[in-house]
Order: sequence, then structure tokens, then C-alpha cells
Amino acid sequence: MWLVTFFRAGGFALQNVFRNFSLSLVTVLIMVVTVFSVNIVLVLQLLGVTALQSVQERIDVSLYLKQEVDEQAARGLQSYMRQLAQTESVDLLLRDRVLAQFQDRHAEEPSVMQSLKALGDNPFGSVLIVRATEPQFYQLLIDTINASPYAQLIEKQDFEDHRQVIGKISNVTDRLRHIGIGITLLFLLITMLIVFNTIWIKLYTHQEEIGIMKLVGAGNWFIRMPFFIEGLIYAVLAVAAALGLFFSFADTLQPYVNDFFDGTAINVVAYFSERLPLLFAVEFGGLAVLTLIATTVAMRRYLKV
Amino acid sequence: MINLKNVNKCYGQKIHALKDVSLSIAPREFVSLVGQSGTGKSTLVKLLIAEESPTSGTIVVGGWDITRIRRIEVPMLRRQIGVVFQDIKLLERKKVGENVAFALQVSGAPRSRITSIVPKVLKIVGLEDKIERYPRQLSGGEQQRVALARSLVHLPKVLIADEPTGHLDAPNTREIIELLLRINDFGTTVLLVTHDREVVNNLRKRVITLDNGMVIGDQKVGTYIL
Ligand SMILES: Nc1ncnc2c1ncn2[C@@H]1O[C@H](COP(=O)(O)OP(=O)(O)OP(=O)(O)O)[C@@H](O)[C@H]1O
Ligand SMILES: [Mg+2]
Repeated sequence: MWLVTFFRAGGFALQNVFRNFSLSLVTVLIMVVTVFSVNIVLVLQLLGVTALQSVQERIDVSLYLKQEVDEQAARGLQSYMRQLAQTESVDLLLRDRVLAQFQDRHAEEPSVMQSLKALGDNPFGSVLIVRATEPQFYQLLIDTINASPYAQLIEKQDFEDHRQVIGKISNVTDRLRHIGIGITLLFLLITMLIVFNTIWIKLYTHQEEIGIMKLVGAGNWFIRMPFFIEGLIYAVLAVAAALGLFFSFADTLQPYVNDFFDGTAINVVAYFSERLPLLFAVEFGGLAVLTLIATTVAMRRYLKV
Repeated sequence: MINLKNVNKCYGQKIHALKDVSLSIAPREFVSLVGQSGTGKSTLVKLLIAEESPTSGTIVVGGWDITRIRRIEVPMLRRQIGVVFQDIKLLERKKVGENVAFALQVSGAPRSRITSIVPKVLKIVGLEDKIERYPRQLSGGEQQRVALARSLVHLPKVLIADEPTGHLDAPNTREIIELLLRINDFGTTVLLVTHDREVVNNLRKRVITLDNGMVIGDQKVGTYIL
């Protein structure tokens, strides 16, 4: 019996959706805008995190060893570094490799090659490339090495401090996220008002019908349920439309993302596709709660049942 | 079946629509309630289906004291009383059959019951061939019969008809009254609200007369006395 009532109320709800179609359309549209803006915030969040990661991944310290340090000593330093807790990886470029790389890079520049030849033998020392587990450990690592007996093997250390860049990126992404959340909250508020208004108008135009329903013995829930279901129908349609729109937007965005992160890129479409069921459930759930609240308030005020 | 004891109904401060009304209607009775316009007949009907609540007094319908009925119990009450409203109250956007079925749908009746009862009650009122029409495609008398059919879907113990013949001509009026008598023969208590002198005089049934909100006459085999 409960199920019968539910399906019947669903039928009435569908009729309601089509009966004042332009109103229904406006309601769905504002919901689409809201859900879409939520998705944009999520993309901003994702891109921000990706940008930070990609910068962090690029940070390293290069330790240029003295020319006379041989392979064995270099390996000794490498394994010493490796056993430190703060190192993520320690790569060793032996001096022959360094020379080869240099020659590769400057093959097209005769003057450079000339001066290299003039220096005679291999002028390069081996290089150790050290990555820390966290960006803030670099200073500690450098201090540790300098205090160790290995310090005398090192000609020069090259550590670019990326902290400023990282700070800037977090600042920008934080600000974008705040703006996005602000706009989304605004849309949520507007959605709430529009849903409230829609249900109110529908209650008003259904006044007579509702009156008759009551007089022939309809229970409270039978009168209310179609309006709740109507709200849920709007929510499903809106989330589906917004996600459709969002994925085509993400598809358009992807090449720019690729450019920006040159290669190490993240696939936005794939990222959100993987999480589609969760995304749908959460956004539909949120919208459903919102419409249920707006509908309840509207009915409290205008439906004396 | 229906018991009113010292019932008063005031609308706001000024309008005293029913004054100390006491009356009792037995099961299977056919009672006409007569009175001039504005004497409180419809108000009495509204009290009986809990559309309004009495200012004082007690109202019992079918052994159920509905004087202080709880809101969630109201639908239960209305499914036990069939009502034909003074202003008919059909849904313009629904067909005849749907209008009748509606009263069953809202009470959660299963489809099988709806498909069996709707044609039956429409047959009783002689409209089984107009099931697909919209109310505006029917005459006034036919619309009134649809409303009557709808009031019967719950097989009510009590049927209240508030001026069902108010806007009808003599043949249509006779038809409706005959239907009410048939329904009464099935064992349903009928309360007919009317101010049609001829109808009342021909019926030769009990007549309760209201005037200015007060019961001024109650005759076993009554005539229109105003
Ligand atoms: N909702 C209301 N608010 C205020 N006054 C009302 C209301 N309903 C009815 N009245 C008043 O109560 C009195 C009785 O009204 P009621 O409708 O019961 O009369 P009636 O006997 O049914 O008349 P009629 O034969 O014209 O239908 C009238 O004076 C009417 O104006
Ligand atoms: Mg009346």
C-alpha cells in the first residue's frame, strides 16, 4: 500500500513537472548552474593540488662533486645520503655521463665544443641529485652533508629555493577556491529561493485540486509526496545535465591543462569519470536535501494540511 | 449514525452560523435538511466531515466522537462519509473516470479495486458510457451524477448531499433524488440538504428544518414548512 501510494504520488509529480513547464525549466536551470559551479570548484581544487605537486616534484638539490672524486667515493656518498630518513631518492651521474650529456646538449654550438676541447680532459665532476621526501627537509639535508666528512668531496651545491613559488601557487589556488565556494554558496541560496518559489506557485495553482483531494480523503502524505518527488525529479535532471555539461567542459579544458603542466599532466576527464558515481550521489544528495528543505518550508507556510 | 449535541458554530466574532443544534439520525434513515439560504446547512455538513470544527457541543458520526478529531484522522473520517458538494468539486483536468478513481487513489486503494469499483459506481449513476469525457463536456445533471458516483467509491455508511439538485431542472432533479433513494435502499444513511419545496414534499421522509442556525422543526414524515 505504501508503495502504491509512492508510485501514484510519483505519477502526480510527473504531471506537475509538465504542467507548468517553463517554471520547471527555470528551476532545473538554476540547479544546473549551481551543480556546475560546484564542479568548477572541484576542478580548481584538483588543478591546484596538481600544480603544487608538480612543482614539489621538480625540486631537488644537485651536489657537484670535485673533479678528482672517483666513482667509489661518489657511491659512498650516495649510499650515505640514501640512508638518511629525509631523502626520497639519490641519483648519481658519473662524470663521464655528465660530459656526454653536456656534449649532447651543446652539439650544435661549435664555440662551446671548441672551448671544451681546449680544456683537454673531462672537466666535469660527478653529480648527485637528491630529492627530499618533503620540501622543507632540503635545508636540513644540506646542513647534514656540510657537517659530515663528505663535505670535502663537494665542489658546489645547487639548491634553488622553490618555497616562494609554492607559496604563490597555494595563495592563488586558495583564493580561487574561496571565490568559487563563495559563488557556489550564492547559487545554493538562489536555488533554495527558486525552489521555494516554484513550489509555492505550484501549491497556489493546485489549491483547488489539493482542496478536493483533502475533501475526498487524501492523507497529508499523499498531498505532500508529489511535491517532494517533483523536487527530486528536478534534482536528478539537474545533476545529470550539469555533469554532462561539466564533462564536455573538462574535455575542452584538457589541452590547456596539458600545456600548462607540460606532459606530467593530469587527465581531468578521467579523474572525474573514475569518481562519477560518488560525484553523482553526493551532488544529488545535496540538491535533494536542499529541495526537501525548501519544499517543507513552502508547504509549512502555504499548505494547511 | 449521526449525533449532534448542543452544537454551536461561530465564524469569527460576529457570525453565529449554528446555534445550539441537537439532532440524531439513525442508521439507514433518509433525512432532508431544509432551510433558507445562509441558515447554516452547509456549515453543518462541514462539521460532519471535519472541514470545520464546532465552537462548542459534541458531534458523533458512526459512534466516533469527531468533536476534537486529530488532523491525521480526518482522512479516515472522510473515507467513511460520502459527500456530494454544493459546488460539485470535480477536477476539470481529469476525465470522468479519473475523477471517480481519484477518490480511491488518494486513499491508497490497490489498482484492482479501483478498476472494479469505478465502472460499478458509474453504472449506478448511469454514466458508464461517459467515462472518457471531461467534466466540461457534461451537462449539469451529469456532473452532479459524477460527483455522486465519486461519493460512493468507498461504499460509505453515510452519504451527505449538499443541494445536489440546486442548479438542475425538474427531470434531472428527479433522477438524482431517485438515485439517492436507491442508495438509501442499499442501506446507506442519506442526509439530503435542499431548499426545493417540491422535492421535500414528494419524498415523504423525515425533514429537519433549520432557520437562522437553529433547528425549528423535525417531522417524521415532513413537508416543507418555511
Ligand atoms: N468560512 C466562512 N467564514 C465566515 N462566514 C461563513 C463561512 N462559511 C459560511 N459563513 C456564513 O455562515 C452562515 C451560514 O452559511 P452556510 O453556508 O452554512 O449557509 P447555507 O444554509 O448552506 O446556505 P445556502 O443554502 O445558500 O447554501 C452564512 O451567513 C455565511 O455567510
Ligand atoms: Mg449551502
